[in-house]
Amino acid sequence: MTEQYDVVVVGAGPGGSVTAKTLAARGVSVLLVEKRQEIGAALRCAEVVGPRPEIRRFIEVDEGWVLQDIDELWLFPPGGQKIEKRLPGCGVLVDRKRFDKALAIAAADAGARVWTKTRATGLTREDGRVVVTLRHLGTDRRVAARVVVGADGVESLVGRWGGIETALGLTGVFSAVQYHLTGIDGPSGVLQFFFGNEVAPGGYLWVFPKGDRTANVGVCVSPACQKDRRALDYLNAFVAARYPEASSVEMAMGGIPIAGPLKSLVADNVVLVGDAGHQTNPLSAGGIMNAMVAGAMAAEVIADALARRDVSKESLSAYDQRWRETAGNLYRWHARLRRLYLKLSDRDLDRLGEVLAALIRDRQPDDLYSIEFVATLLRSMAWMLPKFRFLR
Amino acid sequence: MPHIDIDPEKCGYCGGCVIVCHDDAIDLLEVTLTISDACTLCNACIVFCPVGALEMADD
Repeated sequence: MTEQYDVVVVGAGPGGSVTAKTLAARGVSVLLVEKRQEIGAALRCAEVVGPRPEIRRFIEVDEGWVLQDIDELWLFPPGGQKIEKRLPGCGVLVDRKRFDKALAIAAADAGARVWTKTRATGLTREDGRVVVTLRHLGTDRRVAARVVVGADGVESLVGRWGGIETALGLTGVFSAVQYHLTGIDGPSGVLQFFFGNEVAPGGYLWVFPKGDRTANVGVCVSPACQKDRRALDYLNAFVAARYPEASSVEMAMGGIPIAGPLKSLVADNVVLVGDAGHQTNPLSAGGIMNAMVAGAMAAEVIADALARRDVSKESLSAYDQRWRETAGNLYRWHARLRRLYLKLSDRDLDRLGEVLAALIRDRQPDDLYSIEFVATLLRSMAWMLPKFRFLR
Repeated sequence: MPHIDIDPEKCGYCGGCVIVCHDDAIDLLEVTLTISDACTLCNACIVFCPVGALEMADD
């Protein structure tokens, strides 16, 4: 028996749930499937989202899943010169397990069907429709739809099945690992970032306070720069030196796309959202808010395409254009900066730190989040010109 | 036969190795990671793995 929906969304992370919720609210019939038995677990994330007004576009903020309000960033270049930046209300640290579940519940409340422990195993296109094969508790189920949304995370296969190449080389990803450490005395409301080739080659190490003297302490490194050590080795070295008494109550790991935007997020009957579509910020490696923004955007485009009865690549490509205008064009530049960053020595990083400290002092968050700021940064890094030839 | 061994005691089932696989050979379901015959032993997943759960083996 083949069930029918307008749209099947694969993956119930923030991107998939917001896509499903937005579609359902537009009166589209939606099936949201999650391969895990519990939405939100296991954790793969440092859990910073924000800011609150942006979260409210998608869901009512529940203080039950807000663990910390973020007001300040501290950056530590390898030389140790601390850079402080006050950014009141720039984000919150959330309990991702509760946050993800709340978003999935919101999708269901809006009218989406949700199935857990259900994995997608393939898709075929038939007469302008798409048939998704699903596997639930050992049984195959076929669902016919007009569009399938791949919100299936870093290990996305929906794009590959649909003809969108999503595999990345080792320079295009971060390798990351994190402990939830207890017994940490540190400033609350402050995100701390540590840089340097001895600390986190190509990436950074983070200490994000979580309340109750606990923190997410993790590292992301470029596998292209890590030499003979791994992300876990870098994290263990930092924790042993800095928090020798701390215990870990949870471990998380993951891969983060940092290559910048895909050429296209759509194919006939197929749309990608979130990590599956490489919609992470290549500099910060953040991706939760992006996935939600993209999910809502994708849903609007899909609903319009369904109304036109045309779900071809061309019809869906309005989503590509909107993503480029919202973040894609900026992230293309961020990806270039990231590729340059992978080449920097610790001395370069200290000089970059000095430059950055002066540049960010009087700028507002919106100013930092712009191509203009990337251009300013690149101009002030002219002393690194010989390294620019690695930029494409 | 040379192949890639998965150490289930180290693997955190994060799926990051899937995105660096150009052979579509790796599949992750909950706490089961599998590598199929499509693997060409390119080594990318081994280098990527944050915790060193993947190793080249020959037996």
